[in-house]
Amino acid sequence: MTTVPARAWTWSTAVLAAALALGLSWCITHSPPTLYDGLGPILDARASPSAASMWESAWRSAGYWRPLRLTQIKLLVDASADVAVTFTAVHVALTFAAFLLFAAWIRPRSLSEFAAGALALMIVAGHHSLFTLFSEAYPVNHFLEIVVLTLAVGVLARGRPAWWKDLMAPLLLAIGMLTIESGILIGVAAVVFWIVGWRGVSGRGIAAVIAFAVAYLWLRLVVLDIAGPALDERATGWWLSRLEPADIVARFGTNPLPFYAYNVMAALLDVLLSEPRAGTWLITERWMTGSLQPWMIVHLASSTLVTAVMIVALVPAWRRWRQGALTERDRFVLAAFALVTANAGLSFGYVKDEVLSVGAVLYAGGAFASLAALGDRLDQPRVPVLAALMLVCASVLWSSRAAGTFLALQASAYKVATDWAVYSLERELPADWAAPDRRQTFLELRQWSVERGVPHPAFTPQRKVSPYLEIP
Amino acid sequence: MRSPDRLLWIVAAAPVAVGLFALSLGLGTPAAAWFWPEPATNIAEAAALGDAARMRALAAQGAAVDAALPLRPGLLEGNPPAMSALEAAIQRGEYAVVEVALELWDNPAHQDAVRLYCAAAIRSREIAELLRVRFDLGLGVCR
Repeated sequence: MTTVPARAWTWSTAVLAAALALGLSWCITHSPPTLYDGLGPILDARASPSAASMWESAWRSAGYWRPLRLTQIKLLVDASADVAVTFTAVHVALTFAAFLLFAAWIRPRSLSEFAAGALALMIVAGHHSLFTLFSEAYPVNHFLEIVVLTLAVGVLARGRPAWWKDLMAPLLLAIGMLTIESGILIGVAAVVFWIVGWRGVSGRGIAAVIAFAVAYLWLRLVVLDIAGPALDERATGWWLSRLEPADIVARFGTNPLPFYAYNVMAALLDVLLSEPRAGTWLITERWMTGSLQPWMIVHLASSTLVTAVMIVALVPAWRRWRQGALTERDRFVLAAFALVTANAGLSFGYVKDEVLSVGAVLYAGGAFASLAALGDRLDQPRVPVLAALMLVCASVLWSSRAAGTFLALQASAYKVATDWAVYSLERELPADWAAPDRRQTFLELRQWSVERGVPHPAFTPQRKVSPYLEIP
Repeated sequence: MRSPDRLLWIVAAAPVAVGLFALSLGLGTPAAAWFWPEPATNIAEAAALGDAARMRALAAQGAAVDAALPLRPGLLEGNPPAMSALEAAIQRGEYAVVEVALELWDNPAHQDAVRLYCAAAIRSREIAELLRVRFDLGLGVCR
């Protein structure tokens, strides 16, 4: 019998990853840029005299501290002949980077790993916490940036040690932290990877990562005194309903700890079970009111199945860690639970899908390892029927979620195109309407958006499958 | 092939199928046209559907905003055979879409303006007021 070389499975996974990235990128190029979170930064970039000026003004902002995010946007706006094309190109590049880095990080080397890796790629394409990374351009999707940087650290960590990796890891962390707050998870990931035994980044590199993280926190909290968003920053879910900022302050203004604890718990379960969603127990509420949709059952079942397999894999992995005898697959499982927990901890202020994206992509890595282990047990005497059933069900359920992402992107694109068409810059931002260059930028972006040719949902496959897929 | 290997290929089949679909989109095969059909509505049909983006795109291409265009059945109550984009938007009753239609055609003849305003007054006070102010009509013109 011919043995397939290990590299063939690795390359096959990379091809599948590239195919998914290509399809999602095709949808991205046929979609308009985000209006409400995208237009403002572009117009601010037009108004700003220089990248240095943008950096300086962002340096001392209140609540959020994201100087590199706004500076990136300014640099891209200044360098573009066509702003919409430039940001779309960046979005496509980040999408390809995310999928290819994930494939490079998991690197399947057998049939069971290829099957598990393919399923894990369905999680990357189909997990609701990752959807906004493909559907929204802010104009640069910084959450997708952070996922890319985290996966880059994962690839560095899992490879052979090299001096340049010890420089790259803290640099990637610095870029992430100065772009958006969840960038600190890059540092958490680097440390976790080192702890579980991936030593591509040496102890010196990890020390530099920790030093950079401490410097960031000191600079932000002590020197600049920018603590973070206030309690009334935004609405978030609370059990079966949603709390507006004023409600949050009224209930928890004197003691926010129960609110923070709830958010952390909700974020953890959001990634692991797809319920609650953004803090609200949506599926539970719909079940209680008799309006449960089939797609909700698909989400809950798919996540519960994979998480159960991961928890079963966690027990021996934890034992082997204590014995100092970790396998490569154990490392994925431990890293997954560590990063999902860390990401949930960072969500203490509010729960939002895309903020959990780093945890979700590491969850996919843990799923790869756990499902591969389950696949290896198919030829053992007592396991096969249950194992086979779980693997096939997980594959079908997660593949339907991933397929649903394409339809959801289409639905989202129609909604955003309509938003652009009905938006009045004159009414919403009269100062920008009065400035000729910013008015021109808006008109060009609007024209580009409405010319994407997004079909009305009535003429697409959405209408036939909407009960089975989450389509916004 | 061993039975466990066969099972693993079955597990991989669904994700590979999704990957093939994604590839077919990216390569612009007929599957892409099925999944993301090129819009084929005229500007009046777009207004009837509330597809404001399509309205703007067609207007930029020179579509006749004020002409009565055929409407396919099922878009509006009563299945009117033809109407202009503004009339279709008024009948749909969505304020934002009417605003877009007005922006694209804001100088109808007085007779048409009164007719449109009076038609809107039956359906929506808000939209009627928008038209009255935009066309500079007095109150009571519908009597």
